[in-house]
Amino acid sequence: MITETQTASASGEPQGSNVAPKPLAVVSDSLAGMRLRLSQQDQARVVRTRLTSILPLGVLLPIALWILGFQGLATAAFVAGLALLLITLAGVALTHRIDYYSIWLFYAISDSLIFWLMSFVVGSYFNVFLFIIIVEIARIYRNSKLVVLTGFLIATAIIAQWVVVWATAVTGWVSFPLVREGDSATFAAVAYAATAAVAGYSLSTFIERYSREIISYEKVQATNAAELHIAHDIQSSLMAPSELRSGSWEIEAISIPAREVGGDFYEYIPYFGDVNSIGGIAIGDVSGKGIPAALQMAVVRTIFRIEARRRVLPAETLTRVNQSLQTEMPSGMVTLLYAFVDPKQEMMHFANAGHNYPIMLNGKVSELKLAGLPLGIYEETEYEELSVPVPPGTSIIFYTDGVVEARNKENQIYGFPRLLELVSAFAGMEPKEILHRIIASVQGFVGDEAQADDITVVVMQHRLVTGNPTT
Amino acid sequence: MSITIEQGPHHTVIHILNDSVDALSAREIEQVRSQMREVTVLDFDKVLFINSAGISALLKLVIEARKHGQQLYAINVTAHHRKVFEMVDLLRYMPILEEEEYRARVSGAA
Repeated sequence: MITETQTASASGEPQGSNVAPKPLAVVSDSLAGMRLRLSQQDQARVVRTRLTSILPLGVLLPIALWILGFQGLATAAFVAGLALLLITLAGVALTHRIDYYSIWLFYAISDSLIFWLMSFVVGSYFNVFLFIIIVEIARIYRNSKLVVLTGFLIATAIIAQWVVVWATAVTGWVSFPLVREGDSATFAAVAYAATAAVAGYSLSTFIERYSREIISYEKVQATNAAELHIAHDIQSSLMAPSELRSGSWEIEAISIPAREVGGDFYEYIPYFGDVNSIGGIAIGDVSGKGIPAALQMAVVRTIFRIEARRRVLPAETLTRVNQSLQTEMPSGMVTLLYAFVDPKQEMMHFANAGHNYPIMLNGKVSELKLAGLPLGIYEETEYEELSVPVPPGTSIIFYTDGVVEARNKENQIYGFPRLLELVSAFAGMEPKEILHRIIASVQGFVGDEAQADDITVVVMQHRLVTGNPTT
Repeated sequence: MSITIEQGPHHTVIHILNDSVDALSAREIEQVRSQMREVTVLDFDKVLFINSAGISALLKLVIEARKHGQQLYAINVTAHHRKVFEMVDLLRYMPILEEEEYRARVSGAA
């Protein structure tokens, strides 16, 4: 009986197929109104970039100027560096309170103000290190036009200064409101202030563009996350039901992808067209994780469904699926175990394409050892078949490698021996209980470590009941 | 490079230096296939993890090597990976040698 799909997310939260995906438009709209903050990584990058600029300006340049005998200039450069450092610290303090467009604006306005004030304090000497500052800004923000424009303005200002001073001295009739004889530094300071304003404007323009790019990038990230969420829901809805009962036969299954979507799958094939019967059971694992594995898994499942419905014998089915996959699967591989249950004969016939051996529990624990090449490796592979009796009271556990290769923080793997020892204590338990105990054991072993691989467990049980077992 | 190659007159030993074998490291092994002698031994001594992409690449490598008449063997395989190799039928194409067998095989090939 189909009840619900119980595929769980990586966080361990079960997600049923009836979960409605969040429309992308809703995600985009909610983002539009958000005041996005600088991430810690971005903040660290900003601070690092600013410090690499402040260090030569505020420390190395003052030392060099001091050694060369320009004490006044050295002091001014040091003060400018100190001011830029304080602005950086203020920016760090403000980062958590304002959105990142405002923080960039804060830096741009503050830096421009510092340069502008410096031009008045230092006067005509400012051109010496103003150009260095501009080159440094251009280097940081990768804007070569800024360097060209600034160089042109500085040169123009210097030439204009000479021309005006020369003309005033020679002719005596040239006048300019800000220029008095012997006070050419004021004129130069105005010219440099204009240069600083241009630099500040250019910087702020760049910053605005940069911040828009960040917002756009984060929107893309959010859209991708939403799409993955939808993909997870679609994959969950396509997964076979987590419970299936038919007479005295019962199946419980769970699949927990390491990411939103995964490459593990399980599938049931009805017994000769009876949709409520237990016939074929398949469990597979596509190499890799995430979207590529999920896409390949969809291809493998489709081919498997077609081939399994055409024939009964598991070995023949796997051979055909493998042949079909050679052209559909350019890289990687798929491990797939296909078991076909004959409820009347109480037998299970199975073939294995490189998947973990199923564990049989019927008073004792044993592995159903049948090896085989995974699908997608070698086109001419012929698969073998094994038949085992499954009398009432028998449980068979199918699982993917995410169980035995789960790692804890000491980098140890869960391993086959631990699983077999665990299963040996499951005699007489319901399939659901067995399933939950395996998952709990693996999750307990892994602890706080992130799930490294998709985990899928399917438990089939032939229960001890009286009456017709096949109804 | 995550592998080192030791050449004998008739045998090659490839030591895998990474603690994990994935598609990338398996591809590195594939790239030195032209240097493999008649008998090639893959040393998994440092290997703690082999993911499915690594298994896939190893399988394709050993099957291709077999087609070209090369014999591949593995040494120093952990119990866990021994079982994984068995399940994916890798042992059919690349048997695991114990220390004594390995010495005998290498000296015999020499």
